[in-house]
Amino acid sequence: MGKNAINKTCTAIKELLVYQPSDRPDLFVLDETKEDRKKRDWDSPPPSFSESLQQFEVMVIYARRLAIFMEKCIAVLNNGQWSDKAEQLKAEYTGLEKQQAEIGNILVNDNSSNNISELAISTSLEENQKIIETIYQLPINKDIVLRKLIISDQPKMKAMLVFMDGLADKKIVNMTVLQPLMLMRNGQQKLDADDWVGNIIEQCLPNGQASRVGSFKEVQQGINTGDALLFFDGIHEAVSIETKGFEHRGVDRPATEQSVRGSQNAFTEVLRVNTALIRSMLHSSDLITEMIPVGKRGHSNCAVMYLASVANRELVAEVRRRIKGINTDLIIDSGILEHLIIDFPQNPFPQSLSTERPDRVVVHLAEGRVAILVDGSPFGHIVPVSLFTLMHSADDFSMHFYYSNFLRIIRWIGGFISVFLPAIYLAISTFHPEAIPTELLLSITAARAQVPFPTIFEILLMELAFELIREGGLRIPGILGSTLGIVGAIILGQAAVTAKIVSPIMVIVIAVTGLASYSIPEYRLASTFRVFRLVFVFLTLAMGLVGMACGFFVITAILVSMKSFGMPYLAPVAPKTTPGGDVILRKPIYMQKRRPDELNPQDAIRQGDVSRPWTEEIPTGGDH
Amino acid sequence: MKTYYVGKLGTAEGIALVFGLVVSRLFLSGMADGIRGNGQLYWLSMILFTMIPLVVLFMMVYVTNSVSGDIVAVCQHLVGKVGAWLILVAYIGMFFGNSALVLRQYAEYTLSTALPRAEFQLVIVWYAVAAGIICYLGIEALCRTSYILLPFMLGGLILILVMVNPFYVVYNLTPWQGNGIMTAVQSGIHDAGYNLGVLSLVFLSSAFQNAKTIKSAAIYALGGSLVLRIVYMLVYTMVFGVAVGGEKAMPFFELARLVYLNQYIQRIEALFIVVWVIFGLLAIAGSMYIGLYLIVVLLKLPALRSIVPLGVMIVANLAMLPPDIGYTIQVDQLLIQVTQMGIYLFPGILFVMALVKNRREKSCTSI
Repeated sequence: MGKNAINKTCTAIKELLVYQPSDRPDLFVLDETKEDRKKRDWDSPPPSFSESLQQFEVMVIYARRLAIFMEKCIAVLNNGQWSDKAEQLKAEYTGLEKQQAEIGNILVNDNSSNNISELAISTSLEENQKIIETIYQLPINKDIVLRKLIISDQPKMKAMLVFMDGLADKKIVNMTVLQPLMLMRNGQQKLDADDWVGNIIEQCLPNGQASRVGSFKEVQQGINTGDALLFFDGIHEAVSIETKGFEHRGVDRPATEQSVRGSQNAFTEVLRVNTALIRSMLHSSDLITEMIPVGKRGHSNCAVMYLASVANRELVAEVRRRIKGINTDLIIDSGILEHLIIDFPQNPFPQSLSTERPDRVVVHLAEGRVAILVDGSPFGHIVPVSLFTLMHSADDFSMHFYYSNFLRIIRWIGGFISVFLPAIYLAISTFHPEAIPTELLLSITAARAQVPFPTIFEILLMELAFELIREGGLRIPGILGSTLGIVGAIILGQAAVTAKIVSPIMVIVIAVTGLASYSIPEYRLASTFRVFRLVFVFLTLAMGLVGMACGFFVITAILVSMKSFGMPYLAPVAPKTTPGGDVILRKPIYMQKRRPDELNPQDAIRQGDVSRPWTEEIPTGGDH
Repeated sequence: MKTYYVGKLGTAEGIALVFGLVVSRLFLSGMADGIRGNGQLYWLSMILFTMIPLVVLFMMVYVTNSVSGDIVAVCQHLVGKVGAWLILVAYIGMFFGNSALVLRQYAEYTLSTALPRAEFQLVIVWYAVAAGIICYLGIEALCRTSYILLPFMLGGLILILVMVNPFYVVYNLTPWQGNGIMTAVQSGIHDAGYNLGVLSLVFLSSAFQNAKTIKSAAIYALGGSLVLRIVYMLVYTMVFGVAVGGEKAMPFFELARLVYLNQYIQRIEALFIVVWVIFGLLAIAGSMYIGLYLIVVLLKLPALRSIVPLGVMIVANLAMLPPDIGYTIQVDQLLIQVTQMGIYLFPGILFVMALVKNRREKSCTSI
């Protein structure tokens, strides 16, 4: 027994000390693939010159054979020997077809070594099929449907329909593409061979949109956005047919920008629905929607909308230039696009207005701004903006100007409290207690007497707790999130005070600060204010109110030197320009005669000098 | 090719720049010294030392209009290369000296009123770095920040002047002759260097739209500062009288300390720290920027931003040189004497040279 125990102990020590290889398989390590490494190390050199020469010779031989065959066919037809020579020609034709298939492989291999997306559509249906298979990794990729069909006997025309399962509506594909094309063959409908594609579009396809495409880049854009692509044998063009029909969320109420009196529509994830929502509110022939594809691999569509007769042309050109100049893989959200096109991506202040409300977009378009929408994102971005624009809310336009101005003042006070209150409390309680009235000072001192931590620790602790509750509330599913957030905050605050970790006044300070931060209408601006709140707390910790004043001065200077798409961020205050009547406070609608001068719109006048001419007319009715 | 960008400045920016440069000393001991020297008639002195720099500015605008190019080209054209170097180096010294001495006095002010336990060097470095960051952002940012914040700062200042109204003793303004008219006139001529900052408009003339912008900015800025100074001086005199008021080292702070409206609005001087800190930063950063700008144009350097850290170090080290606040105030008085050269001598020479050259050119064309 004793020996066993000693043996076991020795074995355990030996196992502990002596290295033994693990019998488990190696864990997965995300590394370069062997193929990548081979490419990098030039393990497989490019095809040799002799190999290329050989391939070239094969193609030349095929071309020669084809030419001889065609000459022979012409001669046979001219001499009227068709019936005698038909079998021989058929056999030769079969041979040529085999050889063409081999050459097709050579061509595809050659093309795949280049940028395949840039290729033009081939006249060979097989080659096009192979390129499609290469691009979409068929047959591994199950989303792509590749359907071959014969659409005409005289002349015999093979075709191929390609679409993305799930993005294209199969009913639309069956009813408006396949059915008419296949019935055409039964009905012996004759098409003009000179413009086969044009005739197909005009006579056979009853879809709303059908257009010619010439390159695989356009082919991919079509397929990836839900269109069906129709290829023909012997024709170097394809037809992109609109068959979009994927599932999406319907137009709903705004979730983050609720309004009491304004419109109740919000954007969805579908770009075309969003552009239509804007157009349904702004019935103007001037309203331009430019579509710019972005993302090398994602090919998201990005809509740039503006009023052609109002928006500054240079601004539109700049927006277009920046979006076209993006070189990235994928853009799945308008927020990502924003970071790629704004002037100061390192600066946390938002440089565009992000909104889910079409009515806000319309108001800003009418002022001369540009809206940017991205496929798949329910938020539109408006550029350029100033800090003052970010403090406006959707309701401001619907409410009476007295009340909306009152709300704006409340928001600015909220913003000020959100940034400065903890820092001011820290400064006054730590550095300048003489500024507090005596009674209040005694009350604070009495409350703090039992707390063993310095004020800064209390602030950081409470800020951390508040942010945890906020972040946790977002992650907890459903209605539980907000409930648990509120309950958590109350319980945690009460418990912290009872446990004498923080003083009651600190709970009040942080709660008021948190509440104030929610009065800021732009979510990203509120987040920025939260970050700067901490910055000010640390500046105050270092130098009291002097630190706070220095920080405020420097941050104002930074904001002044910032620009949003070329427009100063604090315009029309700095630099001073003619305001449009809607900056910090808002004038009545009938007095907002000019568009914001800082946007340099083509038409600076929003409404005439007398926007209510009826006030100058003598009423026709009534008792005078 | 020059890569530095001065910016585009308008009247509002010009007003803010000059106002920030000249008003900062209102919070320092200069006001008390002036009242001690001139008595109740110090306002006359103030009018004089505001009007003289305004006239000088108009002379300098004439000079820059008569010769094309930046300030270096103007000076070289009128007084030759050596003369230009002497004049501009003197101005660089004046602006750097002003920046350093204002920095030192504000640091002392901070130590006395807001942060008595803070380390002296830390306060100096803190102000210098903050001013350096603002200089780095450029004169455009400095001026625009200045005119965004100035209304609030002036509002705070005026609020203090109004809130001490229970202490107003109008008899303190008598005898109105103070220490004599001649004394006030001499003092006014002598102290014109307080408003040297107005010449920054001439040095940065290429950034302004035209001469009219510069002139109107100067008139509004100096006019506004004159009104503010006189009101402040009268209120200060009414509250403390000449004898007591002349002894105070921190006049604004002492004034703010007196505020007692009720038990909730009292001892609010701590909150007004923000006001004078911002005024101080404006003056330090503004003077430092002008000094650096003159170095850049004089040496034909390609960029200004790269020498900002150097400027910060120079100003901070200069500010740390005087051993105590008493010596600092003495040096500051000396600087005001020296700046008389910048107000009277150099502009005078340049103006006369410009006049002579213009007359010669006119006579040549008439022949």
